[in-house]
Amino acid sequence: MLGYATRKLLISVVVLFFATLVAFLLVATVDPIAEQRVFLLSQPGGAEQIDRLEASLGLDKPLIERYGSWLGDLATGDMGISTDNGRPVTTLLGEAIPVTLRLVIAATVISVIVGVAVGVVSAIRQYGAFDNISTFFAFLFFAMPVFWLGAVLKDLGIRFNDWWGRRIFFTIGEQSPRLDADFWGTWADRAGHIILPALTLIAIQLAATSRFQRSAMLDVLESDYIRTARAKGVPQRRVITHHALRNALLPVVSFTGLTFGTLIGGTVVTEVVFNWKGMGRLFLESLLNGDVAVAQGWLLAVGISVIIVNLLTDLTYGFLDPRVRDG
Amino acid sequence: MAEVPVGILAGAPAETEARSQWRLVLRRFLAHRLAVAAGIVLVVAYVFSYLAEPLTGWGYKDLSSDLSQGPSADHWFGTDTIGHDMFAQSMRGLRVSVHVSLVVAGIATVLGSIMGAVQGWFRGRVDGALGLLVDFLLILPLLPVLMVLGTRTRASGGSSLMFVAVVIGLFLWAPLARVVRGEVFSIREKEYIEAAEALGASNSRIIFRHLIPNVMSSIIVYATLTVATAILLETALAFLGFGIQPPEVSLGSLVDEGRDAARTRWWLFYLPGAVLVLLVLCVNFVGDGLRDALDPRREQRR
Amino acid sequence: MTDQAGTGGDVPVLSVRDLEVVFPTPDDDVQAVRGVSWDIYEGEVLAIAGESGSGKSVSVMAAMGLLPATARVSGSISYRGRDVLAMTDKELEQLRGSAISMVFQDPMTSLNPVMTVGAQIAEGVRIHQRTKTAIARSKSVELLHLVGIPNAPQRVDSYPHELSGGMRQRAMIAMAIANDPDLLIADEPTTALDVTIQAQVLDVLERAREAAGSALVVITHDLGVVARTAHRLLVMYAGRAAETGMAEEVFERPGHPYTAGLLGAIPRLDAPKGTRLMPIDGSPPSMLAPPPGCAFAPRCPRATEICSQETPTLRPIGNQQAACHHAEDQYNSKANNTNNKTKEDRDDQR
Repeated sequence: MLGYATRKLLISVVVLFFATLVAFLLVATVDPIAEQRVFLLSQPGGAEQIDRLEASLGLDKPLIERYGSWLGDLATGDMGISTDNGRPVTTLLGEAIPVTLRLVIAATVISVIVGVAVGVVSAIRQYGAFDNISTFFAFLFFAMPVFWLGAVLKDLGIRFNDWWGRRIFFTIGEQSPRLDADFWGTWADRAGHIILPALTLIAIQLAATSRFQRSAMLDVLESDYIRTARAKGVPQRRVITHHALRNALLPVVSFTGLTFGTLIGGTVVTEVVFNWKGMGRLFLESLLNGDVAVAQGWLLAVGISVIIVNLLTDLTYGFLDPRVRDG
Repeated sequence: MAEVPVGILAGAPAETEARSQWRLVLRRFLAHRLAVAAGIVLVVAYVFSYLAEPLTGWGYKDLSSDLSQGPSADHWFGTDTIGHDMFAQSMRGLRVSVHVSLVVAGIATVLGSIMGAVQGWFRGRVDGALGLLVDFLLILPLLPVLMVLGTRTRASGGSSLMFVAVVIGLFLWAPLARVVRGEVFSIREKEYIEAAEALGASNSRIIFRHLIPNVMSSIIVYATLTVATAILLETALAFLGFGIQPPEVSLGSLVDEGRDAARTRWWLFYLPGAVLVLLVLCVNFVGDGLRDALDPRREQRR
Repeated sequence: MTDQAGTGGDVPVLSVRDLEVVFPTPDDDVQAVRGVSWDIYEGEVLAIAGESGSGKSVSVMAAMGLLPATARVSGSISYRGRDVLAMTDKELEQLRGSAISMVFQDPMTSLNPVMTVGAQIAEGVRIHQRTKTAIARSKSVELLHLVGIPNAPQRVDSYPHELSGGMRQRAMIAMAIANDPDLLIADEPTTALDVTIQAQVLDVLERAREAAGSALVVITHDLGVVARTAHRLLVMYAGRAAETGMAEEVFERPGHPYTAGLLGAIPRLDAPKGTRLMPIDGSPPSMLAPPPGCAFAPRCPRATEICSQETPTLRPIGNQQAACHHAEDQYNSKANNTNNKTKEDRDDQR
């Protein structure tokens, strides 16, 4: 197991290095002065002004040099300064990450637990009423764009509030502005804000996870070793919990790692729909403003989170499957 | 499955055998009623996107003097604040999504099939290097990456359609490549592949004439899945403002423009969204029917 | 091989009567077993032989209650007078692994990959004997030792992927005899194994059977396996019994052309040089729509008009029973007396 873990960790470090390169090259395609450029080009003497602007942003230097100096700064913990508001990128990320993390963790934990349960029950009672209903919803939410589902829930939430006569669902922001409450009051307020965005992400994730768990479980239930367990007289319940589930969890573990990137995309959209001041908003604004340092830092932070999640799923997989851990 | 008398197959030319196999696939697909219905809806909706203007008299760029009207006999999906006919706009958006997703699926399918077949056929270092790329693409948070690349479309204006399609396509081939690789690994030891190799067929001939045709079932199923993913990505990008740009129409930007009016002028938000959901749902149903038809072994585990 | 205790009048351990099993499929129903009866008595070894798809595995799966829920089963199966088909799930669970247990064909896939072999053996012991974990574990070590796995105290903690195919099948056998079952069923126990270790595993199976004092049903398509172990033989074809009798007698003088054909397909060490194996031409019929009359008729060298019209039933011929319109001809044919000796003989038979 130790050898397996070390190997996975080493691969992660290599991927991390690769990720810095990709993040840098991606953002290099963004023109930080796109809007001024259009305007200045129509002005007399605008070309020189563009040159001066580019020089002030370091754009006149070759790519490799800019990458090198970005990496050098990163090594000292410096991710640069936002050209939009002059604040350090690390500070901006530090403010945005906890907000988004609440949403991502809530959505992941709930959708994985519920998805596994739904998938297992569907597989055991294949073509039963529960299976048919969950299949219907899985297909429906599988076809639903996150941005539309989020906006629909937001609209329904507002209509519900109106009908009820009191505000139950908060549909704007991650918490009430100028909130002045104690610890519990703050979290209660946040909970009211997180319900609809989390539900949006959960519905989408759940559709995929439950289908995946269902087919993994069906595969396992058909396997020879399940027949062996039953031939041994192992009670049905124990066959499911001790023999089938542990094997059927394996594909879902790697699936969770693989879909984390999709979840990030969904989070960006959801935050935009519900006006959260989290990672999604930070990224969107950095791109709209040509704020290169923020966009680079954002991509790197997200890259690191993807690498960590995949490392964790690899380790969990190794823990669950002796064949992988030895191989 | 019904037994086929040995003599008939043995005496038949290979071509007939292949054709009858496809006929069997077609028959199984047609037995899947939901998939057939979804396929018909797709075709009708696409044809309708061209008939909308002659039928209703409104083009997607036309501005009527009816502002912010609800659905009526004249404006089926109502109108927006400046008098756009929302039905014409939605049909235009549907057509754009179909075109973009077909280009995406084309690029991703060709790339994925070739990459996967190359990995499976050459194995060793080629497989290792391409495998790293595939693994990287699989865990990549696609939407943020496409947003970065999509900042270009904000300056380019209306010519964004092809750019968006190509960029999405270049990032969407990895899942298919992984599946094709796995299947090529399992068929490469088969007699007919070994025979082709022994006869001195070149690598590219083996890949294109023998390997890829034999994993066509998976390729077709994945191509359909890719169409659905592409539609969702294209509209999400347009929703965020990094995809198809006005004056061209995307269902994503229609939803974005209509969402703040969801309470007061529901048709601006709910109708384009419903068209989008229906579109993706139908593509998924067709994909599901194709999977059952091409791989009956999996039929029971849909 | 001479021990045939109990073949007489006692109550059989397991008795199968007129068993029929049908699997509904989207296209049509598959008639896997079409009326088969057999008994097995204490201490006896019964071999059920036939090609794949002949219904031999399905009939014992039915006896274990292991068929998928969609299967339609009729007829009767009784274990020591108790009706197995009428048992509740709980009663079946108590029966399986304790009174009747089973060794499966493919040891590569029949063991749970994420549990140690020791844990898998101990599980059966704990469930049926309600013993403590430590006792179940030492019992596992004992059993692994019995089936000839070296270093049993270490191997008990191995995962299946760490063992060779032969070792895994030994572990499967250890698991099957863990509760000293009355009846052990081995479904193609050596088919998936390397030829060089097939004989060893058969020896282990025989030793395990003696240690547990069980009766044994061996299911096989390979009459070579039967020749080593079986007292009695049941040959199945297309879901029906083709022939049954004492194994040695059936070997000596088969009363069914299909049995004769199967015998022609076994390699024999005592056959003269130059003998070639004779596979049976053609393939078994589709069980979706089995042909009328004798199912073997299309492949049978002795087939006449009546064979494709009337379905033959088992009838006595000598000491055995055969379901063939031409059983007498087959039983008395000259070829039988020198069965499998030379190629020329078989050519005469044609």
